[in-house]
Amino acid sequence: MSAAWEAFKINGFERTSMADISGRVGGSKATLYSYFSSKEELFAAAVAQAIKERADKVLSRMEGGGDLADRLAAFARDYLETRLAPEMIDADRVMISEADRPALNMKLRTEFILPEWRRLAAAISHEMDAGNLRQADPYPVAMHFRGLIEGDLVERRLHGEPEIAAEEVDAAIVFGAEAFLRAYSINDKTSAPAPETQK
Amino acid sequence: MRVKTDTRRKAIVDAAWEVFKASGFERTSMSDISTRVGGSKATLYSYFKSKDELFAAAMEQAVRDRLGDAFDQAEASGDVGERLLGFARTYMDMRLATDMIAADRVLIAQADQSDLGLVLLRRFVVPEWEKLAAMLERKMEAGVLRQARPYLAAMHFRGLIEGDLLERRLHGDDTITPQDVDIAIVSGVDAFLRAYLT
Repeated sequence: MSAAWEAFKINGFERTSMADISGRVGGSKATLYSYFSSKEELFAAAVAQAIKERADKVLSRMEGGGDLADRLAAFARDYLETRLAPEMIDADRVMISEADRPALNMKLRTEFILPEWRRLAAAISHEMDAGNLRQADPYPVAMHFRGLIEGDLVERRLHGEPEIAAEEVDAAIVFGAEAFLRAYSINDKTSAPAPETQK
Repeated sequence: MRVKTDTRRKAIVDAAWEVFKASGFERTSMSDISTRVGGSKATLYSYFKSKDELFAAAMEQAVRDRLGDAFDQAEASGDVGERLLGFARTYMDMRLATDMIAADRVLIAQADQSDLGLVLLRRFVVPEWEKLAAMLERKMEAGVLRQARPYLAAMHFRGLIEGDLLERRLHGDDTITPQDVDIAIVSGVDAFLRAYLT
């Protein structure tokens, strides 16, 4: 799987063949096909694994107990670290360049991306029930949180900015979480999160 | 000898955009474009010295045609909520339009090999957001919005109205309805005002 990932990263999806991948793994093409019936399936499995490995840790930041502002900030930090990491940007670039054949992307979105955002929405819904956030449709609220912490950072990375400075990531987290709480907290305007966290 | 004119330049840029849209950036050559415009390659090169430069001009033109003076409108006085709603609508119509998404995909796909996407982002996109940030800053000084970093507030506005819509379009999701966009705009502006009104 990690061999496939390397191959997709270096050559892009289109130019990578099953033979390239089996060459990297050091086995036969037949062996590779006994695991994955197509290149699409292998790419899907590689993306799915990359997301799963990281999503559980990121989402658990929101799901624990403790101060909501702290949990939002912890989630935001882990999420941005994951989302802006080179391998996720590479995966996203492959998906975006394959978008004129959307079936594979839609499968990836439905099976692996949406469930993770729904898990965030469920955590937010829980906070609404607990009286920490005002009542609203949880999924769009999750997308608002995401939009607030992403700002233009993902777009800049996708367009080739090699990295985002730590100070800028810190500001995205602190002020994004602050804006989110002002928009959605029950005691809006009084629950600004803790001051800038040290890295 | 032909005199360089704005009309001629605009004709080239419009034709180039049509060809880029139809064939993609990589598969389009300067000859394809000069054929489409109906002039020689030499004439084309007298206006634009590279395909990158022509693509940049074509994209800028496409953005301007769609955006018009939306970001300048955002500078005007009046109710901040109304201004932001109008602006959000123009912005989202532009951002999610099929040809803009196609251009963005080209730039993202080649971001490993070329810095064109980043150059365009800095040259054309950032200055537009700076105009919105300047409007927000004036509203902060007037006490309508709370004090905050203006550019970051503009990015919050953008993140709130985009949500996951841009990513879905970039990934090829064509199931987004005008109603989905309306809801994103209204709820995004609402959340922004709750977060920033004093």
